[in-house]
Amino acid sequence: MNGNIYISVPAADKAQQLPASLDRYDWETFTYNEDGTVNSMTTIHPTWEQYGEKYKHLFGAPVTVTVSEVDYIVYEMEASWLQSEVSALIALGNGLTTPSYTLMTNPEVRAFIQANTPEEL
Amino acid sequence: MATTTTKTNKPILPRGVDNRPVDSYNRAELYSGKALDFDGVNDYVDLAGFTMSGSVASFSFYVNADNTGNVYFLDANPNRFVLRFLNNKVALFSGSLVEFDAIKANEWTHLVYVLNGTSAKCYANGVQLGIEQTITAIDLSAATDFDLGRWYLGGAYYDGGMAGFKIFNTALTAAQVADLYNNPEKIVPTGVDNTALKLWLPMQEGAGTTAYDGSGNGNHGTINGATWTHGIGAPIAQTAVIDWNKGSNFFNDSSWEVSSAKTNAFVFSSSHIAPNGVDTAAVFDDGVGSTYKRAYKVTSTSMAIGQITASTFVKKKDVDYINVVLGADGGATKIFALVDLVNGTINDTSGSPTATSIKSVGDGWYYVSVQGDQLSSAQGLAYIYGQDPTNGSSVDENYTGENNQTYIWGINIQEGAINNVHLPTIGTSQSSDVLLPQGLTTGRDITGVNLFENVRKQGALNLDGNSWAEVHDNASLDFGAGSFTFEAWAKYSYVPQGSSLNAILSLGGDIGQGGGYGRAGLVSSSSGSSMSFFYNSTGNYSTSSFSNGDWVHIVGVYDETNAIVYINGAEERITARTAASMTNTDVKQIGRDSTAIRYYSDQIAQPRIYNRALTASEVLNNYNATSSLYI
Repeated sequence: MNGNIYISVPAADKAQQLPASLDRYDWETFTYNEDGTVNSMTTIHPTWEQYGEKYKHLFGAPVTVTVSEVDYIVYEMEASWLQSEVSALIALGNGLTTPSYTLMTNPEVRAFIQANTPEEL
Repeated sequence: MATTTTKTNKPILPRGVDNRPVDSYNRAELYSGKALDFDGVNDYVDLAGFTMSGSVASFSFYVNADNTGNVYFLDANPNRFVLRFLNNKVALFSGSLVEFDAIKANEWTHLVYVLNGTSAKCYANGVQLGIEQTITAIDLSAATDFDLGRWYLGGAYYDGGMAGFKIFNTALTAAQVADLYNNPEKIVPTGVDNTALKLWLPMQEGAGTTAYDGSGNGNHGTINGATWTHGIGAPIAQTAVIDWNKGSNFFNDSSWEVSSAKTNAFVFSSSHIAPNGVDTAAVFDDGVGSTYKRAYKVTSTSMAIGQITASTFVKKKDVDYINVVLGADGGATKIFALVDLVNGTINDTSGSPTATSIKSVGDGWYYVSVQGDQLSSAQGLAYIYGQDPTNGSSVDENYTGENNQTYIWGINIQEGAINNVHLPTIGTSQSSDVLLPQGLTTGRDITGVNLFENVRKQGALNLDGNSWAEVHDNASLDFGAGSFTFEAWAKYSYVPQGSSLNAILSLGGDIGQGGGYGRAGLVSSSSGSSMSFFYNSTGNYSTSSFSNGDWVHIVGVYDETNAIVYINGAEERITARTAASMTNTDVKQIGRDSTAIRYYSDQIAQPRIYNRALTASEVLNNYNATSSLYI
């Protein structure tokens, strides 16, 4: 475990971007001139789906669970209380019922996944 | 007569069979400090692409499970094949679920599954676990998903430590399973051919997101979320600890780019194998156009001001010469090395490199590096430039003629003045060192690419700051308040971990603890970059100072009146010390003490403990007798 927090995102929202204030997971793409110098640079502020793919080496795989026939994807991440990143994540769940945009600790997410993942074999 | 009670230049048995008084010396157990830790939530290792024909196989690995519920060690699909826990028992799925027996949680266990057609057996710590079971014969020949630590679709995530994962395409016998368990320094047990090893992930790198395959088959695993643990004492093959290369890959890639106007300057060649024996080499083709041609690679992030190094593998195809170029300042400054692909030499440079090197890596391939100054924080670049084929003596930066083709592969750009070992294009870049044990291919590390450095001296442990050796306590090492001597060769190293000392040899416990608890040892120290002999918490420091990498012969003598430290055969300091009992019941350690802040990070050779005080002439004789091995 490399992150400090988990969030369950409705699968239907996976194309939504992360909160704007959570820019530590942005990355840059470049185009180059013939001699290899930079021609242009574009900053990518990722969607949840892009984030999960880009950072799975660091945080592990996004985990899909099903609650009341609705799919949610659990993402692990590092987020700061001091920098208000956690507040931005909490705000995503305003007015929604759990587990939509619900933040969880490691023990909580273990129980959540175990309770809502089918046993394959 | 001197009594040598520890001989680490003898075969070391890391399996705790060292309590045999019939042997004339104390054997040491060797501990690796690394493993992969899976969090039980979403961590796994992706081995997509691993396949194996036949229905006979053995799976050998170490686990230290936090959760022995319904979690998976391995899942392959299609033709589902699963190694797992089932209700706290070790189990297997192949056509149906079968279970063996329970193993302890939170304890390292060596597990081996042996599958032979419809027969399945399991062994834990060298002993058969449960009974033989009947399964549907496995078929991994078409596997597209092959995950360690989870159900291949996500779920059943393994929770705990794992290391030393091997797959053989043969059914190990009970004796061979026991051989692996009792002799973890062996990669392959007696009676099994090396070619039967189809996968070997030592999981000893300690950094990065790649679990390298040491079998030579190139099935490196991609780590997703699993973290490296350190200092845990995982019982791993000692070859994975004492024989390793070390390197970082701030940036690396086997691919090249070429400017859009020079699309003919670069192609991949499906007909030529890269020096790792797995990948496809590229071809630089300088055959079209009227301006100079080049292929290049740019770092995706800026590099710090200071020394940076560009390197690549090159091999003669049509032409005898090529230029390997470091763009050390975002393209504004270029540093050239003119490479002679026939003789394996660098014939000329331009742009004032601080260093260049060329090394043969076999099959006509050369590994070339060019090092220079990065003058501002900017992206690093590496290029291949054509060279006038009639001019092998001086760099021709602007050659525009037709030049034909050269094989290229494995570009690498990194920060720093040290030309680190190149890591191939697997996983994500990283700035911290990883350890690369020697693989099955002689002279190559487990990446299969790099010549093994063979830096370890005869009889030396090559410790990495996380591993160590232990000798069990026994009466031969109880000196009371009497005289004794410690002796060792060590390559000077000091790495701060919260103490000014790094332990070379400890009689047990915390070397810095006073009060007659039997604490003594040899250490390196940050104080004056010295070596020291500690006796009952007080150090007797050398007057000499050392640099990292200096081989030093250090002897500490206590003669019931004085503590004396000898360096390279000569007495350097003698200090009166009140006698204290040195008898204790602690294990004797090499490369650490009982604290977690004094690990040693370089080579230690021939540590010895004597139950009497050596004389000055004996110390000098010992130094002279062994110095040629280390200096």
